Amino acid sequence: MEFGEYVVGQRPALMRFATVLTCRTWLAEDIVSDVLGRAFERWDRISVMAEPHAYVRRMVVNEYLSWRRRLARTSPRADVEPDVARIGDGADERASRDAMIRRLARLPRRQRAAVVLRYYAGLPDAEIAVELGCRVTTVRSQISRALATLRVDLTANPHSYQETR
Amino acid sequence: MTDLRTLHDAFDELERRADAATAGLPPGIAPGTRADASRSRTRLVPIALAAAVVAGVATGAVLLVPDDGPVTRTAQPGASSTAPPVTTTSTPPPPAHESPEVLAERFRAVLGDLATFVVTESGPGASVMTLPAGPPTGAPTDLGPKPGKRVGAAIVGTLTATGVTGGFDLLMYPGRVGDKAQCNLPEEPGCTVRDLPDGSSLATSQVALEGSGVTNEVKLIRPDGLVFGMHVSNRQSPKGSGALLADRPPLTVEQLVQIATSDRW
Repeated sequence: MEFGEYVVGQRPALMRFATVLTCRTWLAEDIVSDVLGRAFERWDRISVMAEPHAYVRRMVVNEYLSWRRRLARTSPRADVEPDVARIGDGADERASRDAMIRRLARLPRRQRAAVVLRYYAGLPDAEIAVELGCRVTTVRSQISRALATLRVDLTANPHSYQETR
Repeated sequence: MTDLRTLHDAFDELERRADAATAGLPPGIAPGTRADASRSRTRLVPIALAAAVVAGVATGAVLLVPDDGPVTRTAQPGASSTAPPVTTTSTPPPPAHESPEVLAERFRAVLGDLATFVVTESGPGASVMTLPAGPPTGAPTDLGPKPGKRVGAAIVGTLTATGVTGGFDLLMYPGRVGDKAQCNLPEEPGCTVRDLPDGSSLATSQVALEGSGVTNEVKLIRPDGLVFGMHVSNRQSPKGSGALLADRPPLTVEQLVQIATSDRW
C-alpha cells in the first residue's frame, strides 16, 4: 500500500482514535500529523508489516503518552472545558455524555489510554499491555481505577461490553 | 453511577468532533441537518472555544531547513557596531512571528554568542480552531488541509550552548489579549507564574523526565496577546523523547526568561 493510499483511507480513523484518546480535536490533529510525518519517513518498513494500521495506531498512543513531556507548545485550552450551555440544553443524556467526556479528559493519560484501548479499540488486556509497555495486571488496575473515576458501574450493563479475548 | 453506554456515547461524540475536524465542516452547516445545525449554532455561539496549537509537520512531509540555508544567511541585528543608514523610505522589520525564517533569524540575533542552533522542522506557530457546532452526518468529504487559521511561526531543532546540546522548540504567534501564561504541568513544583512590570504574563518550569531527562520551559504572553513559548531539553526532542544528548538542557530557565524578554525580538 502506498503511503498516500493509507493516509486517504485511514486518516479519518486515526483522527477518531486520537480524538477519543485526547478528548481534543486540535491535539488529535497535531498528534496524527506528527505520527503520519514520521510514518512517511519509514513507510517502506511499515507498509510491509502484517498490520500497518495497528503499528501506526500504536505510534499515536506513544505520541500521546509522551506528549506531556513536550510541555505544551500549546495553549492549555481544551475542547472539553466545562460548558454550562451544553449541559443546560435540557437533554439529560447529552449532559451525561458531556460530563463523561470531561471526566474522561481528566483521567491520567495512561488510565485514559487503557480505557480507550479496551472499550473503544476493543483490544484484549494482553495487547493493551504490549501497547502501553506494562503488565496485564497493571492494565487491569489502571482500568479499574479509571472506571471508578468515570463513575462507570460495570454491573449496570453486564452483557454489552465483555472483553473480547 | 452510569453504565458503559454513557462511555460509548462519549466516544461517539468525540468521533463526531473528529469527523468534523477532519472534514473541515464550518460550524452549523452539517449536511442534512440544517434545522439542527441552526439550533446548534445558536446554542454554541456563546461557548465556542478557540484553541491554539503549534502545527506539526504536514501530513506525509517533513520540512527540513538546513543550517546553512536562508536562516544562516541573515544578518544579526545588534551585532554590528556600525549604525545602519536611515532613510525615510525604509520599512519596519517584519515581526518575528511572520514566518519561521524570520523567527529563526531573530532568534539567532537574540542568542548572539550564547548558543547556536539547527532547525529541523518549522511551520506556523498556531492554528486557531473553533469547536464544530454540531455533529456532522455522513462520511468526511474533505481529507485535504486541516481547518483553522494558521498564525505565527514555530521552529524545532537542536541547540548548543557551552558545549551542551539538546532539543529545542520555539514559537511565537499573536494570541488573545488578556490571556495569562501557564505552565503545561502547573502541578510541577518547578512551575512559577508571575506578571512582569510591563504587564506581560510569564510562566516558567523545569520538569524532570523519565530516564534523566530534563526540560526547561518558558511561556510569555505580552500585553498585546503575543505568545512566546520555548522549551529546551537534554533529549533529542523538545517533547522530551529521543536520545539523551547531555546531562542537562543547554539553557537554564533563567536564560530562557532572558531570551523571552529580550528587546531584540
